[in-house]
Amino acid sequence: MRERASTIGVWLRRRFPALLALLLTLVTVLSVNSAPAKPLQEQVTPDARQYIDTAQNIVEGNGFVTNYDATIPNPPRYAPGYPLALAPFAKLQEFPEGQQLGQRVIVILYVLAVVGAAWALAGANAGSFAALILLLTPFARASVPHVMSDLFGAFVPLLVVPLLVFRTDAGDRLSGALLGFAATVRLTAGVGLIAALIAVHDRRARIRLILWAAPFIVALHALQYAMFGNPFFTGYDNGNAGFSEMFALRNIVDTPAAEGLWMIPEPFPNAWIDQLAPAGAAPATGLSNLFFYPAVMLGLVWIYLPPFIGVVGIVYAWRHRHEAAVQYAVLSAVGTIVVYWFYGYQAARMIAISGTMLVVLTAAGLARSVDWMGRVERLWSAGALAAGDRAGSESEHGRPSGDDGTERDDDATRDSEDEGELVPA
Amino acid sequence: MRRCRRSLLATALLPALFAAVALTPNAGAKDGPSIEELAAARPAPTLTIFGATPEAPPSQEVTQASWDTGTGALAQLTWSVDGSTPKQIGQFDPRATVTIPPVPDGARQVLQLSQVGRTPKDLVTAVVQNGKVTITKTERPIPPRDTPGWVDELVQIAPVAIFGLFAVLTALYLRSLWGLRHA
Repeated sequence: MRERASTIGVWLRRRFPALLALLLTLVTVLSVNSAPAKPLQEQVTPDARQYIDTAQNIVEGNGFVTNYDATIPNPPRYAPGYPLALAPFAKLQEFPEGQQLGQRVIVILYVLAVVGAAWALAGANAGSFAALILLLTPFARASVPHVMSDLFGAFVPLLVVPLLVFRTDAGDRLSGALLGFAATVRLTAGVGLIAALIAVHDRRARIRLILWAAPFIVALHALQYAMFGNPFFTGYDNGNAGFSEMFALRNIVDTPAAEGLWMIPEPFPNAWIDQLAPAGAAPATGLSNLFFYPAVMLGLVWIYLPPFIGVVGIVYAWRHRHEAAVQYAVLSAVGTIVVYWFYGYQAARMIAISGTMLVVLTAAGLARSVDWMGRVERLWSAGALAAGDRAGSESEHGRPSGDDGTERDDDATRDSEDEGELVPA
Repeated sequence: MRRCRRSLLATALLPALFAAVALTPNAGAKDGPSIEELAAARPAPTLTIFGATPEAPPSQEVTQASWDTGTGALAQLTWSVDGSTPKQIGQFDPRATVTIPPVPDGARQVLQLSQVGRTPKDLVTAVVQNGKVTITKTERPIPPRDTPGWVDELVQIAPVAIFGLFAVLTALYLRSLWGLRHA
């Protein structure tokens, strides 16, 4: 009996990081799932209403149209990827419950994807930290009520991170298809494909990525050609200020039209950054894009990460800059910010890809810090033993250092520590 | 065998999660009007210029302007004097009250309310001169849609095709990982 209890104890101890990660993920999923849905008349105008309506029209066979702006069906303003993803859910329940359920499921899958990506990068502890960060920040939970494409636009490119950690030819094909589809969700997500093309270093993988992304991008342009007679004419150009008109060099340093934080409120408002807003204006407005987006990434606007925690992710990214998955994450994050520096409308949700990638990198960095502290503790114990026992048996008890006396690389030790994990290709 | 069991368990978790979410009360919120009713009942945006009325004497100064899009949609107000480059006054907001800078007597001010990058379908323009204001509302019609019917049919089957493709690609990827693990 005692032997069995001991076996269970050993199993639990060995599996503790994984169990903790699963527990924290479950808590985060339950927290996210507790967010109430918003009725149609309270959904964001016109974005969310158009997405909901377009998904319904797709299911009913009316085509990629919306009745939002007029009594006759019109082409929607937005890209088709997100309404296409909502369409199967629209079939499951009545309008608009199906679409709201779809958004809820997408947010939950996003939580699992963030945890999974961090876990793939740096083990179970990283998964725990990722779940904890999502629990402490409002982005995921606040995205449940709003049927908006921002979170889904970050979710799809995020799936490529584990595929680049555990790489196979089939994985590259899946990555290409995901990145092609991501470009149909948000047109600016094309940055992800460029990032992946840079991050993978062999020509064959690049060709695979392009070939599998191409059908989605060609289909998007074909749809635009069918709707507007021009493959490069988007819904934004159709009776609205043009998509291209919204991008201008002056937006980098000027104060562009700013959304503020009403859609994703900060849990702990930063009084300092709010004071920078002009008198009478909403919090976190009145800042240039150049300052606003890095401030969001640093957590000065508490949307994706608590203040300054992201620095851990930046350090991790620098130390692991030669890994394809890390390169992809960093290039996607930075590329998205650069694109939105030029955009004439400012909102923290716009850089959801950047924020999400930094969450994953930060969780991996925090996990590495824990591993590092564990090694220091073991080295300390070994040193104490050595002091007590002049025979000097530290190499048997402590984690050995490298040949040159420096600390061993984290990656070299991780795989042996995390039993049961896949070995990166 | 252990790994196989674990994979099966992990695979079973997703449908279980999906079912749990679907059964959660308040998963959807159906109350309220349809999208067509919302579109039909959409109020027009209003722009009010304080200190100037059609009957106002020329000496009266224009001091403030306020707007309300009525729908919660965000809008901005631009202001120009005697044909100068329009300048944004205030922030991007569904409703706001802003102060208008003083101008010389007789200057012609144009204030234009629009939803930046959104729908300039409902554009409100106020022209103010000598304390008198003229407000006009412009509706830019959305160009008619002329998409072939077969495109609509393709769009209808696209979700199934996309999800199917990703399911196959994911299965192939998992099989390749399995092969790699046992190589």
